[in-house]
Amino acid sequence: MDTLVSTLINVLIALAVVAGVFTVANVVLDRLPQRADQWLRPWVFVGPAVAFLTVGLVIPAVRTILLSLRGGRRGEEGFTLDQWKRALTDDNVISFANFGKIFTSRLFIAAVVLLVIAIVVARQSAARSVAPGATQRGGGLDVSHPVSSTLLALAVISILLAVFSTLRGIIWNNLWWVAAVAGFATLFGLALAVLADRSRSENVAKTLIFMPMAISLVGAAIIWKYIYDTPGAGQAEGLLNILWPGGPIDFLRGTSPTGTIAPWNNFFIMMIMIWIQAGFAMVVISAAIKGVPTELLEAARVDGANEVQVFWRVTLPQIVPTIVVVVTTLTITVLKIFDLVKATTGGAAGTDVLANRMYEGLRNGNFTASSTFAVMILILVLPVMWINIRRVRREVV
Amino acid sequence: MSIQAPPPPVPTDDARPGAGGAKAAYEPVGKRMYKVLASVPTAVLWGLVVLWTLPTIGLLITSFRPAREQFTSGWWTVFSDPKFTLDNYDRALFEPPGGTLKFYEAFLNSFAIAIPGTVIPIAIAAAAAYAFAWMDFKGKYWLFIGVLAMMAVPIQMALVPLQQLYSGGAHLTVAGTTYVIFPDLNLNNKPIAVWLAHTAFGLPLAIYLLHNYIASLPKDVFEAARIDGATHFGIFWRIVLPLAKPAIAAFLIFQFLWVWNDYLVSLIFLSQNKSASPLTVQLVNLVTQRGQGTELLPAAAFISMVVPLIIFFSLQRYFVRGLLAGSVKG
Repeated sequence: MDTLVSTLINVLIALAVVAGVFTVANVVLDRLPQRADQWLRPWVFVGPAVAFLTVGLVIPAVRTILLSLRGGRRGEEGFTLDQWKRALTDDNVISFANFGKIFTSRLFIAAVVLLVIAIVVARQSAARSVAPGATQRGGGLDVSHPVSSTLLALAVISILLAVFSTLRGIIWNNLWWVAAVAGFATLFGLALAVLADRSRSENVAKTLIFMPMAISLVGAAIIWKYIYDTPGAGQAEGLLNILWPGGPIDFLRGTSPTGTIAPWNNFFIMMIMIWIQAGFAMVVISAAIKGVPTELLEAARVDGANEVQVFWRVTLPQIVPTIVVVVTTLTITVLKIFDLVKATTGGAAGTDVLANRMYEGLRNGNFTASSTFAVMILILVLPVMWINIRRVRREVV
Repeated sequence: MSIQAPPPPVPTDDARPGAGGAKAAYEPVGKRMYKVLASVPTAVLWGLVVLWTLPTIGLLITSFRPAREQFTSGWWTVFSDPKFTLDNYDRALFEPPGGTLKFYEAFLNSFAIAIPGTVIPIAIAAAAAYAFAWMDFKGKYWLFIGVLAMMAVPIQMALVPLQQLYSGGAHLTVAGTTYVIFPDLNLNNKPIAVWLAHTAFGLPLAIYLLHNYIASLPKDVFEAARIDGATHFGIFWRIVLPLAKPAIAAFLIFQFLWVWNDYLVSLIFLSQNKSASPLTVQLVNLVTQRGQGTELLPAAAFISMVVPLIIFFSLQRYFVRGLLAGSVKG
């Protein structure tokens, strides 16, 4: 109680000081000649924000990059690149040992089959849609065909899952997180948005599915712990183990009496994030679906398109930019994933991720190692960040 | 002028005159088939909704079950054998096992971090957003792009140097003289360390959100005010802040929940001060503790969720708005 009261008093004092300084600066500026006012005034408004960002974000980020390049636990040894050399040669961080196994994995084979069917359907559909009498163009692919685009999306996700689940190491693990969560949360979100659209109970359904977005990742981890639990000391059997055929499996650590499900225990942690983020994808995509101009939909209906065709040929192409936004946003969020892994396995049982290594380094006082893993996250985020900045720039400036 | 959307196309079976009629027995097969098929999407939707809510409901039920029941049977058995107690909440709030931090204290700690971590960034961001939207100054464009770029920078990039800055300050030695750039304030392990960090991390998004809103206010308002002799300062206090209330509310809710639900920043900056732990940190401490107190976990989880859930269900409109705009946060 004391902490809360004293903190609130401090906040009030801080706010009063900020407002006071701000007011005084402005009153002084009001008396200065016009030219000085025009020069200085913007900086009175922008100054505090720029100062906070510089001290709290920009300088630390630059220092983290420099620190990652130095040797010794606290960077006392100069630019030796030790931590990078160590990390990139560590099989726990990134390993290509299983590279050959990708092509024989069931997921990969399934993906190839899906891809072939998708291409065949797309070609057939393109051939059919050519007007009779017109000369056939070679190599036409109609990827907006319902079957073809669904299979294509599934094939892409399966290939990514096949690659990232076969290759081991925490960098691959992070990429697996991205593919699984961005892929499935978006697919679920799209499906939910379409199902809920124009349904009578749309708002209730959307609210319930969106709810996990409000709670903390730590809380979500506990909710799912009770789904995944194996019967044992101090816990009853979780719901999933009741439904799962065969012996009880520890879904989070991947162990079971009959063998192991590793590395797919990772996927059960990812499912928690999919559960949370599907609601986000649904709300964003749903808003986009409602934003598709009615005239477009009507024109398609007048031309004789049925509801299925209207969705796949008109609505879906219209909301592609929104889907890109959802995927990039999820990618940025998921690359930093920490809370869920820390609260479920703590990074044990092959579930480690970059942000957890970053935390472990910091906790052990190995600041250079910690910084190296932070920079790895930044490098993975950069391409997505670039896409995002380009979009935002077009939007606001 | 907008064109009124015509009603959705009527299925042909429906349009046939005389089809169906008063007695269901005369319904043509086609119409019945259509009715069945038309209800499939709704059924699938509700199936998914149940699937999505079941884990949370399960935990809620578990949180009210006595320890012995929790350990021996799943929550679904309450429907045949209902046994409920408030004991778990009582013990988690006031006497958790092993003398760890009481959850009511952690609850207050969460407020002590989340309130300043929400209010301070808004105050600073509102002024900056106004300047970016309605003032002209050199370098404005690139400064703004820089702020936007900061939005996606992972917070992990700032944590190590911030911890060093908090504990040791910053010094610059030039030609044998050491200048103190940032004083050694010894902030680590105090709540202020956490909410100062959250202020810096929250600013880019706050500026972006508020800028979008303030920039979309009608130009006439500002011109009229300037003609009446108002200064930027006056316009900011009397016109911009009152008009920007919806955007401020949206960010307020987003940032409050973000700070409330944050785990990493508190974990790092409060690592040596267990008595200042917010709910999230205390919750994980309870999970990792072997044996004792496992039966309190569901109750403790709900204590940590109650504030976000109240905000979510009562202010959903603002929440969605803030979240959609703020989903790009780093």
